[in-house]
Amino acid sequence: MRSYKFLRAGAIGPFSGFAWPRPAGGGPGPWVEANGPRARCRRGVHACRIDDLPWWLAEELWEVELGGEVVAYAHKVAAPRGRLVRRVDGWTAAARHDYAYECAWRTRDRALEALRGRAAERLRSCTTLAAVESTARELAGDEPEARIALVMAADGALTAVSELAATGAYIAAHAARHVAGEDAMAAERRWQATRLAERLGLSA
Amino acid sequence: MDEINCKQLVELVTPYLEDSLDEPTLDLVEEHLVMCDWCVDYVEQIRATIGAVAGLPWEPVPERLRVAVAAALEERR
Repeated sequence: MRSYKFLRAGAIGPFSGFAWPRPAGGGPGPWVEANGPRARCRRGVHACRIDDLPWWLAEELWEVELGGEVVAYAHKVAAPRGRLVRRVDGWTAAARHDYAYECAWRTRDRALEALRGRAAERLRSCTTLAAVESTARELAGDEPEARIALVMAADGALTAVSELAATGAYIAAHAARHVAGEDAMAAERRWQATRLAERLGLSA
Repeated sequence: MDEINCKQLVELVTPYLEDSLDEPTLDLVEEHLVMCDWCVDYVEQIRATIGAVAGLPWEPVPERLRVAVAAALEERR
């Protein structure tokens, strides 16, 4: 099974602070044992299936090879050892930017589902996320039934402009749940994962 | 529970930093930290505080303070 791992800039584990040894000389990087002296995580080397990706967005995305028994959790997998195979070059600052913006526009669209009439037209006519943010905040005071969806749209726009892709994906998922229920939230997360896979050419 | 909020994270920060959370709860904490810069800052503040306090020399607890703390704990029971 092909797995992926988001890391901070410089191939640093976002929680462990572990500096992953990078591939060199055309082959994969050296194996890292979860319980060995080189890693700090005694629970296993963590990685993502494609569906897990939207939960863990960070600056760098790597394809990883896992060794030993792979245990599946709700939003990740873990194994006794792993190694970096290659960096996913397509996951650039520009790709993160585009992804954050897509999530923000989808959050705006969720708010539209909760609106009617002129208010919906005003929000629909926004052509920038800055306009979405200001319009949604303004409308939130006048549209009590859609207030939460509008605040989410405004916050989603703000996070995209702030380049916070993980937060934007989270808000889009919650906006889906708020407006259309649990199935919609799951569908939103699936869309987010599929979008990443398609854009970056990832396969399971 | 499929996720936690900022308030719940505050309750979990000590076992998180002590690495004593079970795997599902650890997931919830880390999933929250990925998307919440406020809580990342909070965790780092607590981590820094623990580090700073750990570097202090040991001092004997004054008897008066020990009695006052024991009394306060007793009162809370």
